[in-house]
Amino acid sequence: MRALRGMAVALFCWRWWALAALLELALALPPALLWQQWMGGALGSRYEPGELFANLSTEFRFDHRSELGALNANASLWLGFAALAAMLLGVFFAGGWAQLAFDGEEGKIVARAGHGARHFFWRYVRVWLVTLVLLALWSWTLFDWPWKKLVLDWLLRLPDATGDRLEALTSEWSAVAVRSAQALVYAIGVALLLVCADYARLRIASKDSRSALAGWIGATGFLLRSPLRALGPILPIFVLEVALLAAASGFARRCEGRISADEAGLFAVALLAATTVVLAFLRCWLRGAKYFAAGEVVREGTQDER
Amino acid sequence: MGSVHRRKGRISLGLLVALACAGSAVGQTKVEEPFRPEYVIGVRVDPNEKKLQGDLHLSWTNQSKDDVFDLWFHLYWNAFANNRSTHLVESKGDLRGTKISDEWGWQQLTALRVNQGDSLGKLEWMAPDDGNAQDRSVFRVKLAEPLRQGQSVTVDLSWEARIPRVRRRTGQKDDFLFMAQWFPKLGVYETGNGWNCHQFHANTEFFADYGTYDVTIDLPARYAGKIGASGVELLPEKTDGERVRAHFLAPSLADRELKGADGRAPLVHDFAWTADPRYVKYEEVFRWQDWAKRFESEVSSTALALGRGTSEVAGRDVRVSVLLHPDHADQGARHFDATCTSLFFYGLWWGTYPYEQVTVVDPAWGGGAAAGMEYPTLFTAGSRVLSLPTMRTPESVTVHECGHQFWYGLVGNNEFEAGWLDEGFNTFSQSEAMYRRYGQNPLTSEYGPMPFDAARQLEPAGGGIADWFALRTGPALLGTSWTPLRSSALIDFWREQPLATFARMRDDPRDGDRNGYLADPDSDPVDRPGWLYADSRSYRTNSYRRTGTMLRTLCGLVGKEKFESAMRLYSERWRYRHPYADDFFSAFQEGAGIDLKWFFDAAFRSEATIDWSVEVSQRRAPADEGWFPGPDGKWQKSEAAKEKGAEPGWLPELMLRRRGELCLPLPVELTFEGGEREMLVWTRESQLRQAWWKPLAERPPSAKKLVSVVIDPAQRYWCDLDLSNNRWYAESDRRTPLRWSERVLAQAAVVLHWFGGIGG
Repeated sequence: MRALRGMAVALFCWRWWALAALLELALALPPALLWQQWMGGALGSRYEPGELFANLSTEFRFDHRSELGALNANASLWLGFAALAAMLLGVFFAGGWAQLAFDGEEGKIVARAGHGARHFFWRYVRVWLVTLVLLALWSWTLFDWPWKKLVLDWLLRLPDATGDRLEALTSEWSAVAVRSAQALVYAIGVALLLVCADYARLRIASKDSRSALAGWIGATGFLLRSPLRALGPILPIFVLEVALLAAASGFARRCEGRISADEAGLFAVALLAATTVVLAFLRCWLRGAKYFAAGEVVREGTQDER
Repeated sequence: MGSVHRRKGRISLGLLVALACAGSAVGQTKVEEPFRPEYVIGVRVDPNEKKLQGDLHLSWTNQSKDDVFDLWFHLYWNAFANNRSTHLVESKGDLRGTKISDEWGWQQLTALRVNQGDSLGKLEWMAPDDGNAQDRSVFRVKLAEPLRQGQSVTVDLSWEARIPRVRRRTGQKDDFLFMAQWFPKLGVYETGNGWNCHQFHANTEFFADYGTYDVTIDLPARYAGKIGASGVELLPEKTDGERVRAHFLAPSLADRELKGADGRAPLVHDFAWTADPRYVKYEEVFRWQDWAKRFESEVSSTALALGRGTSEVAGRDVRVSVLLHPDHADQGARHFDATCTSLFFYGLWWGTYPYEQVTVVDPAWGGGAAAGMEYPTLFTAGSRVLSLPTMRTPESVTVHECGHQFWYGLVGNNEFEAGWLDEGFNTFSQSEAMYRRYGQNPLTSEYGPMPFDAARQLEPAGGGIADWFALRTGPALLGTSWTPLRSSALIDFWREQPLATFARMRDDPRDGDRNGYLADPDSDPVDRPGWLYADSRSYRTNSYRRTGTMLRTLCGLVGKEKFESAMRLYSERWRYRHPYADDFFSAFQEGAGIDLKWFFDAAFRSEATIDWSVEVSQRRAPADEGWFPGPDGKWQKSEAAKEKGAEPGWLPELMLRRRGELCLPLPVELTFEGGEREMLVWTRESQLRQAWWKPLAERPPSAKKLVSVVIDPAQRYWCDLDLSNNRWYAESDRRTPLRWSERVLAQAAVVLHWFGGIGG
């Protein structure tokens, strides 16, 4: 129910999540424009119109491999900086969601959210930094010494080797199982850390406290004490997001299939672009819904503590 | 006098005379009969102790006119004995991608009798290629008396070996045994040149003579029913409680009775075997007629090219046994189908597969270094779990390695000195067969073990300092890098959403040959001994891809019919024999009926490359201006001279350029408004005189606009370094950039949304 309420309330705050989505799309535009510009030049008068529409041939990719390498390097570099910008935007918009979740007012969405975004910004930056440190610790646990010692050495008793240690296992499926388990545990850990970070932000907002560390510790304690209460409102929203992505993926695959079979043209491309845009908006909406749903839990928890 | 030579090329006098006649076909090269070593081998293996013990009886007849004074043998496993062997020095300890940090291997003779006389004390280690005294991969033994033509010698030897971990095609991993180059193997004697018996190098494969094998394998009982080998099993296995014995003949007795159209019976030049208690067997019969019906047009066109009836090009049915590990037990049919692809297309083009049986081996997990390798009537493939049929794993490697049954198996080139004669020929044949059977290859992306039919356009965010912002790197403290996010299947999949944001792309397998060639187009000529290439990249490029590309270009040059006819003459003439480059060149020219020495010299014996390009500009022909003589000879203003209603024509300026020395007659297609086409040819002679050509320079203005110029429109040539400058179109494409930049937008948007979630 909290999840549904969260989604409903967030829906009315469409200006805020629409703004978030627009800014994300704006950050994603430069690499696309780079590609557009480069490709226009590369095709020029050298390729028959439409020849490469359905499939970017091996011949084209190889003849332009140096330029494509440079293009990808530039795009990748931009994305790296854009990733930082996206994270800081995430911090900013999270402050807005927190404000909307707790101030008990109505109307003037952008003004209120903007106030909250500014008010909580540096505190949430500190939360973000703590999150990164904890992610690094978790990554080390699953990929470095603890994994190698506890799992590969003690549990599986694999001999040391210069290459892939999992080759000492008797079957490929065993190796797949080990790697899959590692990936699954890692993903769950990352997800829980990010949930914890959400609750840390909400606790800071509800108490108007300044300490990111205290927020984190409180959130972790809460998650450990009442995991179902903490995860309950968030899981349905996550499941809905997965369903949306699955639907979008299915639709995109069909469009792609028609394009690559030379059965569809620019209209299919327009549909794909529309899917990207709609998906961005919907996912930002669901992010806001998560804050409202989890905010209810935090509000109740704060009242309990009083 | 026995000696090892480096072959530089052998041209018969008849060939020289024939070549002197311009445009005429060359004379037939005389070929030697095989020396037919007959091996009878008994081997006992104790996998728990990594021990192998063997007894070998060899009969060999000197078919040459030379007196032979010694016998030379390979002991390949001694390359894995220590880090001073030539093989490990050259490979820097890296064996097919893994370091040899443990599990060494070696071979040691314990007894040696030549014609009943004890000769162990006469054994002499040889290092004919690099003089490395610590390399023990070749030995010779002097004969008490010279062996004259027609005389035979028998050799009885015993040896023991430590089985290496599977690192370079051979060895053991747990219970999985793959035994290749496992016995002391006689070198190849070449008339007039002595013994051809090279050390085991990092960048070479193997060379042995055609003969017969009779092998008995003794293993612990747990291997019963799970042994595969070259040839066929003579009798059912015998088990006596703790041990099992299997007896194989290669070729089989039935095959030895079958003579081909040329009167020669099948022989083999190597023997490999494998065993693993976990093997799952998949057996089916390749039926030629079924495939012939499926690819009727292919059969007809080949028969036509060869001037034979379709029944004359028919092949035989072959029993296919696939030995799979349990992980890949569901892939038996795929291995079988890929094997049939090779047996059919290669058999159709290059001559029928003559043996009754072929065995396909799927190496064990951790034994992948044995994958992708060929032995007569047995080869290793290589697969993975969760392989979509569209990934072409195991299909691609299976077609390739089964293809080696023909190139190298039946036409037995010297893989040390002319590896390209099998690898490159097989690369070419494989792409052609794969394309006909499977069509284009989808590009896939993998997340952990899961593959997806989707190709990314954007590389992961980061690069340089931006790696920090994209959380792909972190500070290094206490000996470790504290990276916030590592690459992991589920996280990467969630971040990238490939099914929603990646494109579907396809590759033509034949393009792969050209792409491989472009990786290193001019370091070395193709025709070079394997250990003398600049580096391993040059070896791989030249032996495989460049040769494949040049053969495809050769096909474009002479036409498909002449190409097939010429290749077939070569493959039939040199079956069960050891050709070198000149043998191929002369047989091909004879079969095609064309003098192609210039092409072979440029394509295979030089580093010549080629890049043709076209440049076009076009404008309206200017209207007349000024004063012109009128019909009466008097000056008149241009308006009076202009015809009423006439429009100025078009003046296209077309320049063709050549960069590089591999000149081939070049067709160029011009298309004008209204669809009218014109074909020009930039001849080889003209290209040799000058690096550019302006074919339209002296033409009057054309009424119709030029709309396109395409070099080599039928794509006969695959060796052009840059195909992007081979065409010109009057109209530009505005839609395609939108299509592909949309995918970039999708990928970037999804990735940035993920990062936004980390911030809040």
